[in-house]
Amino acid sequence: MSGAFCPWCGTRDCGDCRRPAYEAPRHCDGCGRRLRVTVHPTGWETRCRRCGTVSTSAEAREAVRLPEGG
Amino acid sequence: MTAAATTRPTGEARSRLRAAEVALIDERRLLEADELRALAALDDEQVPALTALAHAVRLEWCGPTVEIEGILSVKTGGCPEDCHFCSQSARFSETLPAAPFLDVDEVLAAARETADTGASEFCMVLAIRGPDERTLQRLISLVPLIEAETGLNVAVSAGILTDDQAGRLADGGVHRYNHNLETARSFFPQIATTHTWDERYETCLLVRRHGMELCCGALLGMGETVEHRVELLGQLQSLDPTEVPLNFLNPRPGTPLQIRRPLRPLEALRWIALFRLALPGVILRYAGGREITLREFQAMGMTAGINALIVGNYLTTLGRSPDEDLRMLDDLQMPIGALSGVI
Ligand code: SF4
Ligand SMILES: [Zn+2]
Ligand SMILES: [Zn+2]
Repeated sequence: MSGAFCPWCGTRDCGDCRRPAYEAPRHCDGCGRRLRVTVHPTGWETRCRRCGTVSTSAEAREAVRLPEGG
Repeated sequence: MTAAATTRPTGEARSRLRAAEVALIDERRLLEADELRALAALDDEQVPALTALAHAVRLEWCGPTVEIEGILSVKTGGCPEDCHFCSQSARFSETLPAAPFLDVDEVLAAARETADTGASEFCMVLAIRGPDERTLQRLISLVPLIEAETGLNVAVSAGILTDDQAGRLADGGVHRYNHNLETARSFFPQIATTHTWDERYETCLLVRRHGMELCCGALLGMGETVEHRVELLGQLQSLDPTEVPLNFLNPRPGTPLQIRRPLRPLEALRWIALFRLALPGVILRYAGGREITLREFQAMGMTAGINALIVGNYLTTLGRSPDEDLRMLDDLQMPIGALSGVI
């Protein structure tokens, strides 16, 4: 999640939002559009209907883990 | 303050708690509105005593077992109704975009995830006013597939039902149907205008009439008063549900209730206890909003009357990890199992 749009409020270069607890991303970081979110018991998946990008909770966990793990 | 001034309320509190204990444990009768009102008015310092009584009542009426459930939104967003707390209503700006009914494979995968947590119950939830024919058929076709794949009991939450639809869901093997009252009849017009509380109540009666277990929940923290909550407890007593999922408002961006603050943890614990004392034999389930409301108090809810959990994520928001809940139950030495109509 390193695109130009804020995944929480959808504005470009927001910088203000902190990641809310217990939320999947709401907006596409590539275009700011509201994402279609599927939440299942142990994860989530988002899809942008404009960009076609799909992201998942497993990828998000990995992205958080990798810098720490080196 | 004199000693007399400080001890007197405690003495009063003790007698109210004692009267409730006699009613619920010795006489095994339900508390009435006045008794609940008196308990609701206890000082904050008395909340631990109130929760201790609620825990004793839960053990006496239901035993130590905790029921675990997973839920899945199989049809998300785009709902025509206007429940002011709900991010799935199409009537508010910034709420969730509508998504189609999930594929069978996606539903089965979610059911398997649920079974892997040790759950006994899986509920398919739809953001709709009520099911159309196609939706009803889809739901009925999924029930045996989920049962065969996972062995889970299958519950459904698909809004307002007709008599015929309730009968077909019951015949199709739906073991429990969820339809929440959410709040008291007298407060409901401030929460939704596109359907009435009476329509909700009527569906709850249909569920019971057709032999499904009724799961009928509440949502606290929408601006309702103590009196509204006591009213709701009486209305739930009259419905006599098998399960009451207890939700705490998680104010959603874009909804009319986004301006509300979550309940304070101590208030949430007080009302968990009061729900148990009003509904001694129900499966009282921790549902949405518990993480943001109770934070580190979550284990205390388990000794304040709760005897069931939704594990993992909710419909559109996330929960804490199932591992944390399972560890909590293990630490509390509460066994996991299915509960059904414990009264
Ligand atoms: S009927 Fe259900 S999904 Fe629709 S707005 Fe009300 S709570 Fe949300
Ligand atoms: Zn932002
Ligand atoms: Zn996009």
